[in-house]
Amino acid sequence: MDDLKKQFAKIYDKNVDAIYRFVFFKVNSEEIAQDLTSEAFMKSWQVFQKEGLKIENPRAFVYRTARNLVIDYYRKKARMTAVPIDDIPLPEQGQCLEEKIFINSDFEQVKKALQFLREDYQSIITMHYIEGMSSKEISKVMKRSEGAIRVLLHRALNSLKQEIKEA
Amino acid sequence: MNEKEIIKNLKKLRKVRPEKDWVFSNKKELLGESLPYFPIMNVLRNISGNFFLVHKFASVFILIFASFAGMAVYAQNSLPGDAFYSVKKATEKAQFAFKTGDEVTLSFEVAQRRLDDLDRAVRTNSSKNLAPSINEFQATVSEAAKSIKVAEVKDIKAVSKNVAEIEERQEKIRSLGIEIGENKEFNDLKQGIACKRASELIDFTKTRTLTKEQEELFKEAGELFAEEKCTEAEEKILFEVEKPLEFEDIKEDILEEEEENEMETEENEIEIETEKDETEE
Repeated sequence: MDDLKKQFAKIYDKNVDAIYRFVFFKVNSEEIAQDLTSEAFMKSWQVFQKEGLKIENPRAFVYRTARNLVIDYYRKKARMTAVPIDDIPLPEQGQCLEEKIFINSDFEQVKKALQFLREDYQSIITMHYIEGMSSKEISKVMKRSEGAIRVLLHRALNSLKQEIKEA
Repeated sequence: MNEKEIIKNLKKLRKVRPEKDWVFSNKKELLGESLPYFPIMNVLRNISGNFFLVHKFASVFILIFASFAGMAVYAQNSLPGDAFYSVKKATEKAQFAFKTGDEVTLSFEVAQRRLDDLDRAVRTNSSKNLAPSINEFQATVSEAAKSIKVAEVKDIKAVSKNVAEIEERQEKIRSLGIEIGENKEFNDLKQGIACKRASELIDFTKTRTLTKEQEELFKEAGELFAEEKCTEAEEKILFEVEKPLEFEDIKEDILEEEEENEMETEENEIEIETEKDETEE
């Protein structure tokens, strides 16, 4: 039991930031992101206690749980929110003011464009470009083949570009 | 904006992170981690990899602490020459480090404590502790006496009182047939105090009007003081110069009072007589 706990504690430490981001970008609320992240880890821990090492990829498992919880949350709310990144503070940059303004405007454009993407496009872009996950790993989260993920990723990025162009 | 720039902007979103406090508290709630905020316990946990070992460490710490505390209490009853006497002295030193009060008073307090030890060694007839107790007392008194610079002492009366108390207790022990020996530093201190008091007394007496006889006695006291016979000089002034002076003053006062009383009674008698005459008429 202690070994399981230690293993899950490591999974928690390694992934809590990413799962929080994954949820936060979808729900646009710190509180809700915290609640859903907690719930995702809680449910995963319950399963982990029963299944233990039978879970092939615990990280993918937690992602999948979090994604399902977010979908449930929006089902209950009966609405889907676009990518909720309005309140994200910009990271400190070392550029001059002119460059900062340029970057800020680009950043805003990307942020707005993301809001109009489908949920699966949001998920795949978040996992791949923000968290740096491989197609293989994403395929385990989204329960699709690696080929399908690559196609989905290509479409998601094109969709984002299109949104930016139209903005 | 090209694809590269879009990806670059997406990567910036990695900076978004949950609050650290929430991360810790959530983990605690989730896994029942009972000690997440005590770095020392975490270190111990990391070293041991076994949670029970942390409790073992804590038990050992408590045991060591309790042993020290018990030893310190037990040592309070020890006397010079006993195994735990050094512990008693160490705890006493720690106590005095936190005590408030001037250095002179504290030095004498330590000397008094050594006298308590000596007194106890005498009363219990402990031959093992007697010689070390005398040595400890002498060493402490020497230290106390050395630390006092008479010229800088403001309250000479307080120092005199402390010295007198110690001397009185020394005499009591000597009367039981115990040879304590003489202490040079303590005798020097007594001499210093006596000289300071004599000097103050001489200064005071100079301000008074003296009779011829008193002046001669006072001159003799001055000579004694010059020869550093301070105690004798002090006694001379107190018992020979001052005493007659005070007695004469009192005598004069008494005579004056008696005269006044006689005059008052006479006046009263005259008044009564005149009143009687008036009523008769």
